[in-house]
Amino acid sequence: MWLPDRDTKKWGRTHPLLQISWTAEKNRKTNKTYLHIVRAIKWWRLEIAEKLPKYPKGYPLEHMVGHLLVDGADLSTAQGIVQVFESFRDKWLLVAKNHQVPVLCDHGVAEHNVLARLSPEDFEGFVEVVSEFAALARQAFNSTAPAESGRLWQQIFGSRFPLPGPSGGDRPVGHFVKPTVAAVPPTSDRFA
Amino acid sequence: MLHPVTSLLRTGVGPVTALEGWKEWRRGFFSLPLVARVTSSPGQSFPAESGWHFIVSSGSYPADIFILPDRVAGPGLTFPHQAAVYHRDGKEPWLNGEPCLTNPTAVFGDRYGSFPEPITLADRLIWKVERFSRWCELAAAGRLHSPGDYFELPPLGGHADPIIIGFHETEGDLVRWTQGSARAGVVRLVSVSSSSKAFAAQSWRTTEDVLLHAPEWGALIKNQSTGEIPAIWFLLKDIPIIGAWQLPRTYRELSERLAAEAINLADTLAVLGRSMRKRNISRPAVIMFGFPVPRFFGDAPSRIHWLAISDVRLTRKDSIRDGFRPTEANRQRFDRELARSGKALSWATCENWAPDQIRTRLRSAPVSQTKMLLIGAGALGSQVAETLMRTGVRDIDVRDRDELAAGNLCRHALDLTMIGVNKAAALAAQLNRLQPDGRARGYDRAFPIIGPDGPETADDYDVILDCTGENKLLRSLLMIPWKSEKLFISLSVNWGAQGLMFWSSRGASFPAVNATERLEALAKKFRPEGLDERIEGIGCWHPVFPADAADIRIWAGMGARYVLDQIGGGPEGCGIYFFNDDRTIGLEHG
Repeated sequence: MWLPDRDTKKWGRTHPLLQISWTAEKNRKTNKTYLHIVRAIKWWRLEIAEKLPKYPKGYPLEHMVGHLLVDGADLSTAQGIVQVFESFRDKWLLVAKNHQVPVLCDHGVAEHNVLARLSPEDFEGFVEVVSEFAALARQAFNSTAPAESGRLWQQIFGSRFPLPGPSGGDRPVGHFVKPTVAAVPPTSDRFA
Repeated sequence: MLHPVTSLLRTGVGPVTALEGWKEWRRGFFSLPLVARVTSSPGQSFPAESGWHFIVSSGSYPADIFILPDRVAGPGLTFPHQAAVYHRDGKEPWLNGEPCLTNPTAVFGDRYGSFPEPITLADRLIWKVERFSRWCELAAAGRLHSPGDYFELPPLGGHADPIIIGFHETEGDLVRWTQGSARAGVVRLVSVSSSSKAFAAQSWRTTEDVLLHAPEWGALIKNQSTGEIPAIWFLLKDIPIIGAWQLPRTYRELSERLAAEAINLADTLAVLGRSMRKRNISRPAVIMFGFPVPRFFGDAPSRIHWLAISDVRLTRKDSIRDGFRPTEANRQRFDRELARSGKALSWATCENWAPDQIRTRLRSAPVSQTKMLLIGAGALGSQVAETLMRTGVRDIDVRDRDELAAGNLCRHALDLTMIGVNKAAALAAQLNRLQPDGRARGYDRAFPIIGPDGPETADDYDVILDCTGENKLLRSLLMIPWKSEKLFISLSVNWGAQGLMFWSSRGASFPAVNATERLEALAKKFRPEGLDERIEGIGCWHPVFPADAADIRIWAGMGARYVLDQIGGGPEGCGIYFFNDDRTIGLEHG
């Protein structure tokens, strides 16, 4: 499929179906955690958006996560997040310090570099922030105390991250209230 | 009282004079012989001198005043704007057939002067005789009908209790008749009224009983089985008058008039009589005469009108006449004799019941032909449908699973005779009785029926009208894969029927969630306080909602008006009409 590139005023080749099938395949190979991890990392980016440069985001970010995430049949989402953060730091911190941006080939169209438009400055800023959070994520993952772990994860993903309750669950007590009368199906207030 | 007009008439009011004095027949009943002397235009049959009677009967208030033709010296024929001239029983020297002078605007415009009828008797007599003198002058000049006047049929006269025959002729049908080759045939008359004197011409057939034309009647007339009324028709070139504005009065006059159209009435009666005797039919026959009529005098004909003579008594198989052998040849001879006899004709009242003629009383022209699906034949639905049918929305399919209960009667359009009948079927039957072109159908079925292939499609309809008051119906409309754009209308009343909620939208799908939420919000907002549920009655605690018949009638009227406006292209909307405290009606959009 051909799409116009308005900046270069050229038509570019795309292959969305191959991208989709690559993503599905990746998800299968990672114990169905890949999509969760991408969502989590996109959420994290939004939570701390003011600290981060505007780019990378969207598909380039997703592509980087896919590139970094190691396949594993018993992978968990938390494990994957920690691994992605750490790989990001280990693989690309030095690259970024050298004012370079890695070249990642599009899954659909091999000659496309997904990060072609990402500037070295943005990339450097991004990797620096990732590096800080890589250590935090490792700490949260390794913690064996549920309350402590939850507090650390909240530092990464924000206050919406559910904390473990006293009874070990993640939902407030008293969420279910026994009804006092039997349910009545809603009736209309209209007549004819 | 009588003197002012008498002295005026001595010298003459126009061509009218009175040379004698008033005669008192009995207390309060007077008559005065009048003479009208006019100069007739060439070719006009109004006599140069004619005798009339000025009659005053003070037995009622205001006193009745008539001007009637003299039995001997009167004109003898009926003229335009005159009641049929015929001899009534009695010894009086006058005939029936008063010139129509009373209403200045309805018939004449200001042809006789535009002054309305005065109040005192003396003034009324002068007013009447002045108008009569003008009528005589116009009759003599042949100008009672002027080009541009509404076409008017000759008065029938004579028969005390004529039968009524409805026919269905549109302007489009004129060509069928004038260009077709058939000039005579049989017509199937079906009874439509419990008076058993009103009939409709169901279908027109050739002499060999081959169908020529079945008009677009409604279900009642279309499906009515043919009674045993022997009826034949002739198509004439012109209105069958014998002079002036006079229909034939006797079989002899009719024979002579028909001879001018190359129709032999004697032979016709003989053939008709023979065929009836063969089929053992002994009821009096009907003969219909069709002729092209214009809308206005002087215009080209616009449609066929029919007149009919009824009570044509032909010789029965078992009739015996002294001196004649009871043979078929003799019976035909008797039927032929009827055509030459002076026996009076019984003209039937014939009316055009075509859609554009039967609903002329309506303010707005009949709506374009819309097929409507009405879901819910309850108090509101039944009365909305009734009004729509009377207005000319003639294709209505009704769906309801309920049976009519006695408790429904206090608010429903249906009646006692329908208790225990499915509401949809009963309502459809009722609707078809309302107009001769009513084509309602009722189904004892829920809507929509979900079959193995999914919900039924209802793509025959242009308008989907919901009168169930139920949200589940609105939601089900969403499930149906409509193939074309529909007009969706939902009408319901609130608790206590203090308001009418309406919804309308056009499209190939129904926005059920939007509609139910907005309508329910209105219903809750306008729910009156402190009005308890009613129960069906002792022995049944089924709750029923309280509402008065008067309120339901009002909202049904508003609802029908809303539907008509929507069919006419009104804007889509959602809202409620509600009663203010002083019973004026407010409107809130929701």
